[in-house]
Amino acid sequence: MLPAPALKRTAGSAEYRKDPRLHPRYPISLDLQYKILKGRHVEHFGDGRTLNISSGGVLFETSNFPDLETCFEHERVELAMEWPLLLRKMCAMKLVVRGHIVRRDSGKLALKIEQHEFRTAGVKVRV
Amino acid sequence: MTAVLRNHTALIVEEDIGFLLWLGDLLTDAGYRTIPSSACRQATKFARELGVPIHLTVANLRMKGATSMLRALGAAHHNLKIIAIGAPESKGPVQVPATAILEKPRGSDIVSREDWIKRINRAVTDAPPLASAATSGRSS
Repeated sequence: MLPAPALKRTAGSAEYRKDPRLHPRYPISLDLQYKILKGRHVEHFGDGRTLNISSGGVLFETSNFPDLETCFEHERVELAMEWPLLLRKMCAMKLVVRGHIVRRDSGKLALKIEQHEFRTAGVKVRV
Repeated sequence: MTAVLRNHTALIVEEDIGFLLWLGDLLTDAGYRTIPSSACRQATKFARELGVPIHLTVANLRMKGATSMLRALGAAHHNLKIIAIGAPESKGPVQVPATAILEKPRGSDIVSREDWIKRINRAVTDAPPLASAATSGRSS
């Protein structure tokens, strides 16, 4: 069995002061794929990386998010992050988060979480 | 950073997804394979589906079904150690089969990864596994 890959740290995350806001933000850096959804239709997709995550939202950065005015109001955005649990060389878990973009600052986007789920690869793997 | 149990599996059950992933990251860094879950029923399902032996469970005591989940996991996984995450405002005795209880950091706390690794390692090494604790009469 291969060891699970280490997650990459965001700068200064070894020790940090959690702010007193409603949902404290935890610095964590995970690769992600995003989809902009309109109904069941995928309007756009790309990739990026999380900067921090709270129970209420995800701040992530990407270089290829489209400049859509409407994405702040109408389209839902789905983020899929692979959790580094490796069993027999395959990643066995994925976290899928859905919500709306509530803030954008250059390449950084804040997504308000409306729904999240962990998914397994769907097969029973013994080690 | 000292890793006590490299390549062992830790199941983490916490409803705050930020804290859940932070704990998962921390335990992955310490050498555990980590299985995160934000609901007790889901955690039980993952443990069954993935079919891996669970060596450590870290669970939020305030979640619905936490006590029964911990008892079931303790019965199903030999030598399981359990770290219960109790909220700072928790009062009174906690009736769970945990080998250690840690408090979730509050919003104004400075959270140190190294400090949490030390606390978890101390809990894992100092406390007997659940089966031993039960046979020696320890309740929590």
